Amino acid sequence: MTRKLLFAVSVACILTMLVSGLAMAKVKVPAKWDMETDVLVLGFGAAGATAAAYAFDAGAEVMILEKLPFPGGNTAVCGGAIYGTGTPVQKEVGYNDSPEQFIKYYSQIRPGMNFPEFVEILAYESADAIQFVIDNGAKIPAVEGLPGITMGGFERNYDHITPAMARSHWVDGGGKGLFQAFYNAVKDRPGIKVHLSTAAERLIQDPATERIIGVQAKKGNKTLNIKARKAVVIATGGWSQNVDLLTAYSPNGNNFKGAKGSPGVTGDGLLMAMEVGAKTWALHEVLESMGIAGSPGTYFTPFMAYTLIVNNDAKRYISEGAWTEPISEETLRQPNGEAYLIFDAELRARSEFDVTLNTVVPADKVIKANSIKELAQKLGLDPATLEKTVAEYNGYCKTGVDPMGKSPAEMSAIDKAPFYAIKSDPLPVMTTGGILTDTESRVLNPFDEVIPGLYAAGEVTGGKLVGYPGCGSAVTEAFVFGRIAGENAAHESVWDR
Amino acid sequence: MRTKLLEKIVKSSWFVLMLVILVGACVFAADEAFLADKHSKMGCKSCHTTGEYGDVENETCLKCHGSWEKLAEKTGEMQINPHQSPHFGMDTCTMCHHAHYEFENICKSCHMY
Repeated sequence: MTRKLLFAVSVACILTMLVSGLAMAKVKVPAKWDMETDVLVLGFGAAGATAAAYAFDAGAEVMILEKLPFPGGNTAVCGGAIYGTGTPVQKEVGYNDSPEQFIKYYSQIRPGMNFPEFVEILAYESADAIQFVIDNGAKIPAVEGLPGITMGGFERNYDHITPAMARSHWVDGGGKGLFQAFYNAVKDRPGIKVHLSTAAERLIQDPATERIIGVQAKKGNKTLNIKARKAVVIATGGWSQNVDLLTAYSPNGNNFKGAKGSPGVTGDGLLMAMEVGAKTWALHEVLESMGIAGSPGTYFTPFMAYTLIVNNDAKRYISEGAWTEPISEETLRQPNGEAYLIFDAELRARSEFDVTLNTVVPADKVIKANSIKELAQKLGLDPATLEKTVAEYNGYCKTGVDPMGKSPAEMSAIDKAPFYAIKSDPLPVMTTGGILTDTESRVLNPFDEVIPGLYAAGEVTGGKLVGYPGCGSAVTEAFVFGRIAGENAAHESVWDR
Repeated sequence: MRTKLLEKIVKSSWFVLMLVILVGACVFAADEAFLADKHSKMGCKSCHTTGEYGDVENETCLKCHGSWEKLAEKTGEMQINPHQSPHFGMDTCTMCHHAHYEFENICKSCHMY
């Protein structure tokens, strides 16, 4: 009898939990809305700014919510490149590029992970992205270099398939200069309402039609229900600052000691879309780069190839001439996942070192010593092993033949005191998987059906950028699919009529 | 003799307790004084110049506090100078200097120093 009763009670409990769980899963449609607009854009980075500008031009009333007190997202803190083909700048420098060549190249990057439909759209619309930032005040000098244009990806690796072209267009003023253009596009349309320090938290879905009809947001400790008469555009960026999400999806997730980029990229949009049943794509994909945990603005790319990199055992483990991503991957497999970049006085004096060390590397992170032995002691490495590793490396520099395969042009003996070292960590820069949309930027459910009233663009989406084709490709993606999202959202019907 | 000592201890601990409460209250009160409270003698309209209550423009602050460059000089000793940020959009006074709630160092949302 007692057992039966217990059973009945537990069944009742489980049922109640289930039912209430189902009912609690979504924010209820509020009786009264605090604010309203036609198109509600979540996130004020490159994708959000583009979606807002194009939705506005298509005649919609537009509002942007940004959870941080400042706009910019990852774009404002990136190196300042935007990726494109067939641009006037390319032509002026002497690159005869075309969307067809772009597609051939892009298709080599992690085949099967990026959808050909997306790649085609990117190829034909990337020049518009570059024109857009120029029209909004960005300066891209027609020269090879920074600012200017470079081969910012793996173009040379696939030269045998399609001619290597410089497609990374570097804006004068770096990420700040690049985002300024996106910001100008919004500022020049005073009708767009911007709410900073306002975090979108949950989507509001009509239980009958399943259409997304608004958002629940937080400003300070105030909860706001904001109605979107036409559509919501998620442009909240990735989740490289969210350790839980990285751990849940990425194989290296809980090995990262920090992250790079905007503090805002915590995956809010991904979670909101998941709640309403969005399909996701390649959530495990993380773009990594060497830096220093706790100093997210630190990078070494201009000079890393010339250094000698050792692990905690004071041993070399990779060609320093490799790209920052494979170096990061390999470093994660080393003891404690740390690397030491070692160089000498002669290298230190080179402009690649000097400029970077004086601007983005905190001075107290550069360890200096008068001998390799002393350097090892300061770093806590075994002095004898480090001396041996350096001597071996110097030998390779002399012969010009490196067993790790580094190019002789990047090899320079480490023999002039003082000697320097920087302890460095592999860090996530951005996530390249995300919410899956169709080519109209509409968010799909797991059965590839459209979730009505919901669009997504930029880093929060997946299937367009896996393998990172080159510097600036994320910004181009943000523009191209942000524009599609904004225009389509503006053309949606109004649901509350 | 023993009772007297005990009494003394009890009395002095009361005294210490009162002191702790008093100091605590003062510290708490000081914490409660936000930027707006410190400017309260000037009246709301000295900051909210148009009479509308919203974000205060930089120029309003700088009218009394000098130029942006001068402020950068003042904080020049800091490892990361908050008044000389190389980043986009880090140029709004009220971003850190909130008038109606606690001061917040936005730089520290990314940089540890």
